[in-house]
Amino acid sequence: MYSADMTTPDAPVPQNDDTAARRAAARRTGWVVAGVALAVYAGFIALNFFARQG
Amino acid sequence: MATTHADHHDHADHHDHKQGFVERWFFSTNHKDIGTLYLVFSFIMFIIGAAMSVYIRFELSVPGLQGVSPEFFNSMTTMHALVMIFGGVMPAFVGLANWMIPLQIGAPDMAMPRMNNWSFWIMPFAFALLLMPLVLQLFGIGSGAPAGGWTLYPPLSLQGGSNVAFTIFAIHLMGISSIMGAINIIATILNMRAPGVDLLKMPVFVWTWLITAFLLIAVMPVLAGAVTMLLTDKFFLTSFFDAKGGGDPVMYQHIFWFFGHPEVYIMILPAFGIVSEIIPTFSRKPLFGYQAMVYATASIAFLSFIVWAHHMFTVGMPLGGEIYFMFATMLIAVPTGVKVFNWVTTMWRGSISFESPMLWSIAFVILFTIGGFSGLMLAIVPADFQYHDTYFVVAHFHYVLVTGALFAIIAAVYYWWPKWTGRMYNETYAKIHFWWSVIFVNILFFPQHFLGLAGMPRRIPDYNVVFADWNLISSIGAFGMFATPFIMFAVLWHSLKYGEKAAARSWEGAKGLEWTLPSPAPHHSFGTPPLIRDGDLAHGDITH
Repeated sequence: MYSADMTTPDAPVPQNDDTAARRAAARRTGWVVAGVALAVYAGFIALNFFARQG
Repeated sequence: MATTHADHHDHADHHDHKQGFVERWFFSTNHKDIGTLYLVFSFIMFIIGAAMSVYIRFELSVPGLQGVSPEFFNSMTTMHALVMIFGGVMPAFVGLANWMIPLQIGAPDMAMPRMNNWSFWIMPFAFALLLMPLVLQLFGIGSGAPAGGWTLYPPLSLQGGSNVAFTIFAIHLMGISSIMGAINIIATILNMRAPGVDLLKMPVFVWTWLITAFLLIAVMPVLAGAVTMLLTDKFFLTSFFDAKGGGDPVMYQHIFWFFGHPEVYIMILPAFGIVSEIIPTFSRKPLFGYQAMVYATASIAFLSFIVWAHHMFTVGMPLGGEIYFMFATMLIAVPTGVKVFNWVTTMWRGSISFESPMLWSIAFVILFTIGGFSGLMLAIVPADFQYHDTYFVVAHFHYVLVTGALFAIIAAVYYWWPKWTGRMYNETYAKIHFWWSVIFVNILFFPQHFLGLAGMPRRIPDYNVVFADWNLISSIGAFGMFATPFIMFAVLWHSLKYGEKAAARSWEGAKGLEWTLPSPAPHHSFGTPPLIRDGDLAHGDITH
């Protein structure tokens, strides 16, 4: 394992490669955010529709 | 070196064979390639939009009608804006985000690489739909491109004939692309940062994009809703905005500008991030007030939701509402001013060098501030009754969008070009590009302040002869500006063919994870999260 600047080799450190877990968490975040976007879209149309009914 | 080896982890676009052209560019799952696609697309759209503006300025260069017809002129103004905003500026910033965010946070790629590819490839289809009515009109088919203004106010926008559906579907597609991109960016930044890249140690460019992505999620669906209601009003017998059916055309304006004001901040916040990266590098000093910059950006984003009606002061709102929107709009100048002062303070007593990215960034600070001053003038309700729908508004938004957003995009391209390509460009040629642009952009847009103050309305193909002189000068500026994308292309092409090889840390004062990678950055990077020490990050010494 090298340090980020790749000029000085470090002593071996335990890998903290939880990329797969973070990707799974990212997908969950993505679904939540997508839900928010959909809610805004539907909500704005509904708001305008129901405002006209009243 | 670990990060340059081919990764053997479960990388999304891991492949054992050399990718063919189609696989690499049409089915990409690589953030660098997708970033390149966005940037190339944006460059082409900038040229198309600029060609439309040349037509507009040609028509306006002298009094009288020079061009095809007033209706075509209206199409040009409408399409110029749609192409520049949705095809030029926004994709350019998304391209920069795609390239740089994973590199700056030590992530192997975006969180959802396949959705990333979809986000891009929707765009050429969307713009094919948008431009199709214009192209067909040139062959005598159809009623021509939309001509009611990029804001698509009903009822005028619904009288456009066959182009209405094309335009609305194009906007839907662009919105879907932007929303998917924003989802990806939020998910990436929140979940994919390398250990050690804490939120308050991230580069400012990443912060501004995180906040911009939230703005996109909040407002692009609002635009989609507004144009969906336009579509149903035209084709499905609703009357959301049709007074005859009990609807309200002014309601459309409120909904549109509820999207529209955050949209302009979507187009400028990444620019703020870019300038916040470049100025410290070439001042050889850390950014002044990192946390203030983050909070100011968040404040600007929050305030952007509550000022929309300053785009419609003359529509007939109650006085109390107008006064509220006036004060709220003026309030945005405070966090924006914090940022301007922080950029200047970063340079203060720095060891400054004036490479091209720094020149573009300094020009941004000065000229965007001029645009901000005219914005403050427009915020004052009684004054806006004079300025509204005049060239004063045109001057304002072109200063903030051209000398603001576009200059920052160009600065970013020149700044990160060595990282992307492994080549430096010729600094003399790049400076020619810079000075040519700065001179002609001011010739083009500064006189438009005078035209607006003198009373010249917007969106007119012909005008009273009293406006002739400044219009001619402005048009000369436009013709000069039209050369600039081609000059830039030549500079970058020359760099690819003849440029010196670039070092990993291409700029002496550059700090950040992207500068720890070789130049050009390898196709796959940070497959293994980098081990980060505080000094490796530009803001690594910030403590909570």
